[in-house]
Amino acid sequence: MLTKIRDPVLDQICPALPPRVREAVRSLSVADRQSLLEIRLRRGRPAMGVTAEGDLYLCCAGQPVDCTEDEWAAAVRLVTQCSVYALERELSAGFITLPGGHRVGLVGRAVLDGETVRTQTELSSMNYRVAREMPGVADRLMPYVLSADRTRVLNILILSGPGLGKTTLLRDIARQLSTGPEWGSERGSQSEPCRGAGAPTGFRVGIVDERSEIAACSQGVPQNQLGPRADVIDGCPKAAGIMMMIRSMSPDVVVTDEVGRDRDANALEEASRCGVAVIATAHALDPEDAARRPVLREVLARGAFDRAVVLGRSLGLGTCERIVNLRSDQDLSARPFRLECSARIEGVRR
Amino acid sequence: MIVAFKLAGGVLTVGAGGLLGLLVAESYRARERELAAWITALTALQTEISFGHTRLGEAMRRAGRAAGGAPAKVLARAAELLEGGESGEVGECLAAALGAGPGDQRGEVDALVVLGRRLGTSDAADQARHIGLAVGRLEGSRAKAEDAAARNCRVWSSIGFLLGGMLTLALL
Repeated sequence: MLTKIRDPVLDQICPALPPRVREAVRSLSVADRQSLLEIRLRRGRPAMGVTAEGDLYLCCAGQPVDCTEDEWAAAVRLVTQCSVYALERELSAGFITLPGGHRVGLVGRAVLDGETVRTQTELSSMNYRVAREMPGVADRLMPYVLSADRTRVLNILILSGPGLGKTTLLRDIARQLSTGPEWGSERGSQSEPCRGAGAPTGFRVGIVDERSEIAACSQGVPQNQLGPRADVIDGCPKAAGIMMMIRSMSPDVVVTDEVGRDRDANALEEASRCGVAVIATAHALDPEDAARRPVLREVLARGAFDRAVVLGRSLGLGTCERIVNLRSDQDLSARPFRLECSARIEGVRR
Repeated sequence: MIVAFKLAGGVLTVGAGGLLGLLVAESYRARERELAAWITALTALQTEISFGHTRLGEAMRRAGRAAGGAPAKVLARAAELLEGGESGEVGECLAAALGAGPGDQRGEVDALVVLGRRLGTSDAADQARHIGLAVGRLEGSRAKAEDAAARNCRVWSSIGFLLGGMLTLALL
């Protein structure tokens, strides 16, 4: 498969950058721009890009661009769309999601309401995280996501540290399940769309997208490719969203990002008990590390997941380190392998 | 024949003078209506911000539509500038949309530009307070405009005809 996809940095992130930083990013070479993972702005300090190889200063006319007060005010205005009042929940959580599913982390002075953070003021740092749509990145994993007869989706937990591609992988798994089988299943494909009753299809995928990073919905329309059978509940807390999705859309599989709270884990467990497969991500280095986190320990102990996919960077960003059968604690992949994207960005093969 | 021409000229002069007077009187009423429309627009904006948590660009458009007239055009233009991202803060966008220059005497311009500096920069409760202050200022301007209209409308409605008549008599 070779589809052309847009350059998210130019199309979606640049409009939310202050003028001089935007100019600096636009003046980067295509290769540098495509390797950008993050853009970090710190008030009164130079703007930096983060790539897999290291950090780089963003420069205009050979000089690093400083985030002056004017640049900073413009950045806040652009990221919040002059609507701080509409983003109190996001500011209290510490991030805002831009169109396209790019997350901008923000920190400043916390405004407390008792023990909880009500919002933040006097913002001091921003981190634009580039969310890249990478169709085909899950190709090599799909056989592990499905049962042996390929008619059922298994319960999968994707594990890694931050910024190693969990959401990107999750998105592509959702897309492939929804589209149907380029993995060669018996369930048919989108290329044979008009067949009679009982004809094989892909799976109904229910995406609970609390942070708008998986589907990047705009006005109810997913901006990322998710295939024809994906339903998205956007901006809804996971626990409530999972149950709403099951009741209202009867999905074959529920997909959600970053399980971290008790109620999220309980909802996932409830879903798997309802006969709905679950694919989720969590912050942990491997299943053993996950088992040390109280929330995940309980879910894993109750057998809510069949397999764990562990991402790392031993072969570079986007390495699948391990695939573990959680029922037998057996490693299913002999060695780490790279998850490759089979799409092009601006004509450059990735 | 000459008398008929004089008579027609006199009628035209009186009519023109009267029309001019009526136009001046109408400008007082229009001013009052415009300020009322701005108050409606800001009240709608406050609702969009406090209860709808609508993003500012869209909130301004909706508030403009609710009020109609001049606010609809100005707020739609300001929203366009704001979303274009090139025009700086909200106050600058509003000033540009209002076509305001230095020393602009319109009461709403100052109130809106001052409000614009605060719009979108704080939580909903704070925004409601700032909008309330701007509405208060506009209410003051509207009360003055009402007084001016009450004083001047009737005067200008008559004075136009009177001046026209006097001019006709002088020319005859």
